[in-house]
Amino acid sequence: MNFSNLAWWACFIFAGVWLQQGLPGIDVLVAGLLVSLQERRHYQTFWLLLVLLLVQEGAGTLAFGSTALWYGALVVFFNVGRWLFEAENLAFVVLLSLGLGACHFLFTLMMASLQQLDIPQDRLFMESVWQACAIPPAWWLTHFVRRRCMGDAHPV
Amino acid sequence: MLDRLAEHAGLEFVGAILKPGVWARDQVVSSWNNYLDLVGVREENEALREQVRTLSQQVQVASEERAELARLRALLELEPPEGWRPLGARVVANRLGPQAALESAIISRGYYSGAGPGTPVVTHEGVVGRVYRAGPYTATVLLLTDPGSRMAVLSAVNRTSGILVGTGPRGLLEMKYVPQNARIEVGELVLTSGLEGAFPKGVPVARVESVSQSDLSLFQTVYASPLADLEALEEVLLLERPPVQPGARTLPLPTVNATQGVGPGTGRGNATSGHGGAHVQPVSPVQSGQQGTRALRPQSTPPASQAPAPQPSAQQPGRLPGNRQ
Repeated sequence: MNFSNLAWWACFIFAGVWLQQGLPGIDVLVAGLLVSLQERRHYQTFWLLLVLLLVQEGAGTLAFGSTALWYGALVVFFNVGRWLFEAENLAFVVLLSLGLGACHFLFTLMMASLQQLDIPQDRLFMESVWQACAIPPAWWLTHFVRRRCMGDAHPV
Repeated sequence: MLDRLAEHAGLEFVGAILKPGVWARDQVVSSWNNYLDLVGVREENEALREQVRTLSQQVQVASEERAELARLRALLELEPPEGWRPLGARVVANRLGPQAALESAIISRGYYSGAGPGTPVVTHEGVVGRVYRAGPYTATVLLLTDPGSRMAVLSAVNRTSGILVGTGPRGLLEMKYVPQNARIEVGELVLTSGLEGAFPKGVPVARVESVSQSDLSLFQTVYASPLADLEALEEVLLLERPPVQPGARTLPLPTVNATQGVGPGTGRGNATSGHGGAHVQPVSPVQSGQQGTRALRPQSTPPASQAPAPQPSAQQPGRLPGNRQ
């Protein structure tokens, strides 16, 4: 991972955290992870996954685990879906986001239940819907900006 | 261990990202406000001078009352409650990220700067909640509207006690376990009771909005609205516990693990049961007899070194409860 790539991801995380401040309950950083998966850079994806995991788990209020499960679901969905779709296909990203939205609801509910926490399910449901809706445009924007900034060295 | 890693790395990382931006925004807003303040500054100056005169008179009256209070306390051989140290903190974010399932806010202080788990958080309007998880310099506050929040309270006029429970985002607070024959009125202020030592006694929390009685329950149904505007928090005050006096007899009380924080409750169990995700371990000795409460204590009490060792109980004052306030 060269310096410009590192700087790009640092800027992405910086912008993503600020964006998340205005979108409570929504993960916009997952779009970067999806782009990284599409680039098939395993080393980069590993470190990005680790950093995003720490950021989301650290800022959250649940015990460690639900984000790990969620990002795990993304990796599994991506690798399974790649057998059927082109990784950069918009339909694939939309299907992936729907699956991730459902997983967000289920995993958060499951972890809250395991911790015996009461959380408002209607709000969680709406946030999961918003999460599913947010991933395709966030992915497109991340993809677009990364391609503009980094050139063709990082084709998706 | 992963929670600890996330708090030390992830939470701090988020804080490090957000704090410079908040600072920059504040500088811009402050500069703009300073410019605007120049307009009409003379009128404001006159008003302020008048306010200073009024406040000076009030301070004189308050000084007299304070002196009288000291005399009465001395007369009753009571010592004043130990002072809680207020610490200012800035709210850098509200619920942030997909894992922020609870009603919470992130503040710019951590356990190195006075915001240990369980630390009460207030504004000038009233109680906000208390610190839930803490990193070294950033912490998460559990707001009192969260369904897992529990707080021992009493009404200001009728001194009716109960447990104040959150009902969710933008919702009212429910005051539970108010007996049917207890008096409580709409519009009455609800204050912290100081039980358990989680909060100093007498801090305003909420105002009673409705009181109703049911034939099916042993308790009244009481709803109150929080005094603090939890939707627009910018700055808060942390109330740091009184320091343990050197040489004081200490009692090892269970306290909250700094990495796990104060867990919110289930909203399903007994309000005093203290379960619900908090990890408690006996690590922090707290001064016997003081234990963080503001309850008055006779000076004629035998010296701590001669006093019999108190028996630990579920309702010990000074205990940081796992999930109850």
